Amino acid sequence: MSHWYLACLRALATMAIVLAVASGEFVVQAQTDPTTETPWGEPDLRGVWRNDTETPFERPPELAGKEFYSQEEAAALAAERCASSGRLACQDGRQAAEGPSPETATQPAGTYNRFWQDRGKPVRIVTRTSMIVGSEGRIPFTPEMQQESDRNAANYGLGPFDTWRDVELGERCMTDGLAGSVWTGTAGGPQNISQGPGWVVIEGEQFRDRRIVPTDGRQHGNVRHWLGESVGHWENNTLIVETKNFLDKSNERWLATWRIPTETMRLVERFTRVDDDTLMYQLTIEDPVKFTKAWTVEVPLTKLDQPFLEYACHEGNYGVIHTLSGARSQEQEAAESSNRPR
Amino acid sequence: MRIERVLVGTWIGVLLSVFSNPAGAHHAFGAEFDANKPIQLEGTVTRMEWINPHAWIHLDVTQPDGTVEKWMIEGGPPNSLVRRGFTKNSLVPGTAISVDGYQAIDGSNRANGRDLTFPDGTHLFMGSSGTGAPLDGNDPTERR
Repeated sequence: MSHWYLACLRALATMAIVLAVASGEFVVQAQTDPTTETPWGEPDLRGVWRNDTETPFERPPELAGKEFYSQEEAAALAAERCASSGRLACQDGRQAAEGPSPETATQPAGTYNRFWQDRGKPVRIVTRTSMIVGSEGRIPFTPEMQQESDRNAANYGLGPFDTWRDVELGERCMTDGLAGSVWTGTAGGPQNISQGPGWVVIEGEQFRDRRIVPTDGRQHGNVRHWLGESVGHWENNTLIVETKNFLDKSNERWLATWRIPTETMRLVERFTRVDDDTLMYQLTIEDPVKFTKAWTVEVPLTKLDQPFLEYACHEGNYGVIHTLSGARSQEQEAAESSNRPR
Repeated sequence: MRIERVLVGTWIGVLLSVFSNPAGAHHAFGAEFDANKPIQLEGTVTRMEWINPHAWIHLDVTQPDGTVEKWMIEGGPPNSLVRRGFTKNSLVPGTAISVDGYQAIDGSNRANGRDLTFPDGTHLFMGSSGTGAPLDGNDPTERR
């Protein structure tokens, strides 16, 4: 190849680079780099993130042993779940919100439970058949705790409701616990992550539970908390947060048995920015009181291009009052019925 | 098609798994509302209360004898409503609506809003309470 030809190629390549820099193309590439760093040199996890998947927490029994769908199966399932969940984003465009009806009659009836979550737009396609990883895909409860979990699930919402303490903590606007808070909650449980040199703050929208996590090398102390004590460190691009020193609050009523904090519970969370819009979240839970072994959950969190909103749960929480008044009403009705002459 | 067969085989279990996990609810339907008291109300919106953890619609319902009953209809959390496109102009006072829902256990004029219908026939789904709301056959995705 002649020197003349090579010189022309070099000149064209140089021109292309100059044009690319001038058009900002290189800047865009830098912004989408998953290893994006904060100005002080730590991986940048800042932003509002939420769970946009429809992946079940535990694997359905009929999928036992099948940890992953194929991409084709996952895409088809996501489309079907989206269509049946009543998500606006699954319909043909979002209607203007100024009219009397922001939704149309195309949604199936009875979607109230899905509406509560309104996780994503659209459903994020995930090949995992359950959030819990591994061949079993289910919570490895001890036999005693499995019974308690089944009993609690069967009695959920049924009472008896003799005092306000019989209403579970989430319904009382207290907390649903730290474990699981990152992917659950209203609207997919948005999490607001803020960072500063040596610190990461992780705040959930529902309940406004927040953790101020030091990453400056300090060790855990010896004070116990409802949400435990979180200490973090960086391994390459992953933030690892270890949380222990939970208060034992097993005497309270909780939404889910596996989330109940005990003094023996230890959580290890891993946050990894895998691309501009995805934060891969992993949680490993250990608690010999509840589980036969440590187990891990994995769920991708999607960057939410919306503000982190206030959720002042106590503002108008009529639920506790109504639950207790309903229980008293049922008692009175039962008493009147038993006193009625036959 | 093979994928369709896979979907049919897994959909029921997946649905049950999602619905049976109360991890995302705020409160249980059955603790506050009575599945045996389905109601249908036709009235006029007097106020939309944008409060946490549930929004409430205040409704005047005119009875056959001309008297007016005041009702409160529970909706979803304001954050979810906003993210679905709901604004302060979505249900302004004076709007005529029809509500399908379930009355409170204590028999008061409160209800869990299931479906809300405007005079032109369009629907708005209130989506209030968490798991435990009754399956009544209106939803084609329901599985018992």
